[in-house]
Amino acid sequence: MKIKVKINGKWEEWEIDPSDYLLDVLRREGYLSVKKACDTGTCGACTVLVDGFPALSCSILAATMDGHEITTAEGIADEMDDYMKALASEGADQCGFCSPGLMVMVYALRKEIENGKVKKDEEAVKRYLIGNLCRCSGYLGQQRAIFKFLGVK
Amino acid sequence: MPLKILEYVRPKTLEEAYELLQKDGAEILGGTTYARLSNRTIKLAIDLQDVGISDIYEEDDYIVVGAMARLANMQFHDLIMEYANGYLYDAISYVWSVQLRNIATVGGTIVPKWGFSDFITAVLALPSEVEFYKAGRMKLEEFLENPTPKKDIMTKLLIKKESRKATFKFMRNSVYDFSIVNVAVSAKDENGKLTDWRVAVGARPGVAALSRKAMEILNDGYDESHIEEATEAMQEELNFADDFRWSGEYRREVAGALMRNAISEVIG
Repeated sequence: MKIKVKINGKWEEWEIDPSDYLLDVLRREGYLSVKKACDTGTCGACTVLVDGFPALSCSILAATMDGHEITTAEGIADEMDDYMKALASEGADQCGFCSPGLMVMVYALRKEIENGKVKKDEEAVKRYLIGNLCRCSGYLGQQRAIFKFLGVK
Repeated sequence: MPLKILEYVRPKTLEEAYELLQKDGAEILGGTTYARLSNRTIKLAIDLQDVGISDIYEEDDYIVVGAMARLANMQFHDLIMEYANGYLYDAISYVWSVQLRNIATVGGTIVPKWGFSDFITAVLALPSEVEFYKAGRMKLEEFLENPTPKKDIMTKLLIKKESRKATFKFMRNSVYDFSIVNVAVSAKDENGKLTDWRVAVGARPGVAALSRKAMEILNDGYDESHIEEATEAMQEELNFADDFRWSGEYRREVAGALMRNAISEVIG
């Protein structure tokens, strides 16, 4: 079957199988920032924005995305330059495998804070990001970088 | 072998979806979050995203939540954020992750009667109903206690709008995990007098259930002795079982402690 999706601002048509998951299709189509890690809806490495909201691409059937807008880390990289600099300055990026998924989440979190849906405090930020696991950083560097980027005191 | 879908359809109306569902091997897709972990073959997967059951709105004395509304849509909706001092907003915020709550649907969580569900426990502690396309409307507890309507489509969750005080408690091995047992308690606030108590206990590990005996005792009074009596009644009335996480006996004890705390919080 064929689906049409708006990916990073551009409409594309993809040939898929009804059983395909969005994560596998995105990687097949060259969006390699979307990482395949746990593949069970737990680690957050495959996070993308669907119609502006963060979602696990490993747990979404690609067929259901026909007509929807998808944004990957590639699509927000320019806007998130300051975030990447904050990560680098805090020495927070080790293997980097979880970084694109976390970047998408921080992008979404910033919008939720601006919209007044999430408080700009330490507890709320940590709770929002609970679904992004990192196996090598221990989180403290990332936490410093995220708090700095979002202006969390 | 992962999940295999032979044919995918996206009907435009509930009537069309219902007709398709009557076909052999047809199934409704919920949020698809747990489908990932399945190794079944679905002959005909029906996606309800276009049939118009995703909205959240007020109708008569109820907050109506469409079965295809995402848990995150519900969590952040103004009606939900304002209801019972943000009780449901807070309870839903503990359901797995933001990314999952943006996929998981209300119907996809309620209809399978997931035993581990925090969401079902939290909603069951409120006067609430579910509506099916053919079977019609029923109380949530009746739906949970009886066989699921076959080849039918859940269309709505309805939560009674009234002044309520409510709280949700759980025990987990870590915050980002399933609850090993969870408890939700609510009471109607009638100018400071608490009536119509509801006590729901889930992840026992079976699906959430009301403790009607505990509710009856609390409706008689909610001083220390009534709270103790209600807690013991809940522990006796509900079934707690072993699984690979915890023993039923331990769950029963922890549920009691969570219930006492929850009642104290509701009383304030």
